[in-house]
Amino acid sequence: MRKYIIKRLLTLIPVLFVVSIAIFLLIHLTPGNPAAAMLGDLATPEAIARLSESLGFNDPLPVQYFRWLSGVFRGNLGTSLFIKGSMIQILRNHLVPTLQLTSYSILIATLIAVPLGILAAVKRGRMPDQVISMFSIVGISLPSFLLGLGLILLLSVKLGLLPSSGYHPISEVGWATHLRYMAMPSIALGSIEAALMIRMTRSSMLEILGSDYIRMAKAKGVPRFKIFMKHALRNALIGIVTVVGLAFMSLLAGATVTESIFNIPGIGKLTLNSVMRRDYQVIQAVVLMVSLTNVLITLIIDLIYGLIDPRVRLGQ
Amino acid sequence: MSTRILEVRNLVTSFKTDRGIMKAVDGVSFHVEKGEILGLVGESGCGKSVTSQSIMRLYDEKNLVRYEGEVLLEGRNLMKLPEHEMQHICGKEIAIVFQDSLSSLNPVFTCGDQIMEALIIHQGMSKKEAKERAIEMLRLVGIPSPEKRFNQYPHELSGGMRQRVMIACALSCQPKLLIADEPTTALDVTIQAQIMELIVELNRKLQMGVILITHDLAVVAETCNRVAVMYLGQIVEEADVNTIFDNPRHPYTMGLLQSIPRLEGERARRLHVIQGTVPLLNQIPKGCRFRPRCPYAADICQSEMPELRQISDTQFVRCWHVEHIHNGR
Ligand SMILES: Nc1ncnc2c1ncn2[C@@H]1O[C@H](COP(=O)(O)OP(=O)(O)OP(=O)(O)O)[C@@H](O)[C@H]1O
Ligand code: SF4
Ligand SMILES: [Mg+2]
Repeated sequence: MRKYIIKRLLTLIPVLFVVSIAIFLLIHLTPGNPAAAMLGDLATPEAIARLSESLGFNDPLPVQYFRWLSGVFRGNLGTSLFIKGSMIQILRNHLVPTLQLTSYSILIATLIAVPLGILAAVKRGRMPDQVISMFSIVGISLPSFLLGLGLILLLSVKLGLLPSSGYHPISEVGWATHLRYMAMPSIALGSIEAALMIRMTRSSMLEILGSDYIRMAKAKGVPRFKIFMKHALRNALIGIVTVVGLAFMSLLAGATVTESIFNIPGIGKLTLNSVMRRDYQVIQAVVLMVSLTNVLITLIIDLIYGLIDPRVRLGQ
Repeated sequence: MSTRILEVRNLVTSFKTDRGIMKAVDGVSFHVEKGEILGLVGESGCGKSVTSQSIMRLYDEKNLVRYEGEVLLEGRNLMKLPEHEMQHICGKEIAIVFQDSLSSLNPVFTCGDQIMEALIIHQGMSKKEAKERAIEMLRLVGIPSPEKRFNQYPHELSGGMRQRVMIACALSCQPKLLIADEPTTALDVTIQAQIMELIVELNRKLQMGVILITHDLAVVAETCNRVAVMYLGQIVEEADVNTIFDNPRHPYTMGLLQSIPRLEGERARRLHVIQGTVPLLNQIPKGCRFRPRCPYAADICQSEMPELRQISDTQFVRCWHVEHIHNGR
């Protein structure tokens, strides 16, 4: 296992290198002078020149790249044109709500999807499968804002059970209130993710149930329940971990729509606002952070694979 | 009758697929005596594996297949048994060695675990006893340093070793009937020979009945007592091994035999010398199923399906023209 981890870590180096170049070029791929793009149509040439100079846009690209990279290593991710404070601080402030929303939704999604996906596979083609599949198709095709608005109408406007929007950190209001505010967005996001996860769990379980080794287990006289719980589930976990990991990655980049509807100051909203006011340095920092977390999550997924599947651990 | 371990009567296995119902096995009947090795031969896709797995009812009956007919294990009809009783038969009375050892062993459990499983279920052994027995089995099937192999995963072993692990799994509870589905395909020749030797030896020692499925007619000639030849889900000829080789009467059997290389030492690998290919299951011809490829076909072959007829004490043939066809070899 240790050898596998080290090998896996080493492969990260080229990945990170490519990612860093891509992110750096993000600003320089915008046509024309990036400073002009930042300042918008009404900027005077003097202002553009001043900004170009102060941000170092006049230097050759490699020089700029290494300046940026060494800044990144020292924790200097640039400055926002609109938000005060260090970039790290800005990211952290917005990451916390997103991380919370993501974790709650994934938890909800997993709790719904894994049992239902397995049930659908086991009862393939019969009533439970059809009902579950119908729900998951509805869930996949339903736009998340519609579900969000629907929930607000029902749970908050009509029934008055939950607050309709807003975010309150745990440190200020405690867990109970915090969760009351997070409940609806988490359910909205979690249900949509669950719909996708159900389909993936079902199909990976189906593939496993039709495999030779399941029939071999049956041929040895292993009772049905044990075939599911021991022989099939362990293998299905590989697929389930993948799905959960992918969901995590996509949500961490910020569930822009959900964050906007429920007014949660997360990464999605930060990205949206920064794009609208062309705050390129923030966008760059967000993309960097999202890429790094994605690399990290992929690493974690791979390590979990290694735990579950000896073929991965023992390496081929 | 008392020596008859297995009798299959009119077995039909139909798969429910997206393209409709496919009868992969259509009215197959045969039997296996105690201590006998029955060879089951035929081209790829003619239903050998499906027949053998249907005997143990391994396909999912709720979603995938429908079985018809009877499978009598020492007189008891397995098709009528409830699931929990079938669990006591599988692995204990009948055991199977699957065709593909890599896909048939569970990748996430060690070989040892997978051998112990049947011992714990059927013989009520403790983990410790089962482990001792499993290691003993590994040694019996000729695996060097069995203690080490016990803790290895299937993908860490070579194909030959994995095949032996499967055989160890199958034999661990000393079944009355062993089904060996191409136990040696894809292995190199010396290992093939070792594994066949092992199966024959255990067959003699334990008086275990064996159904041996293979493409390799040389192996059939060396090991089997009787042979059933399958074509497109049906048995087309059945006879004792000498008769099959010396006096085959079905054109398909003759075709198979002609495809054996005559040169000494060279072994038959795949049989594909008969002209044409096996039709798909949804394109089964009317009348005799072999007609499109048969050099002797006549009008009646097109309109009516021949039955499997007994033509001597030991020989059964499914062909309208048995009387006119003689060994062309
Ligand atoms: N699970 C399944 N669902 C649908 N059709 C199947 C299934 N398994 C097998 N079949 C079909 O049944 C037929 C017989 O297949 P089978 O595997 O028994 O052939 P075989 O004689 O064992 O061939 P081979 O020598 O290649 O192993 C084939 O046409 C195959 O496509
Ligand atoms: S019945 Fe006719 S077609 Fe079929 S094998 Fe005999 S001669 Fe050939
Ligand atoms: Mg087969």
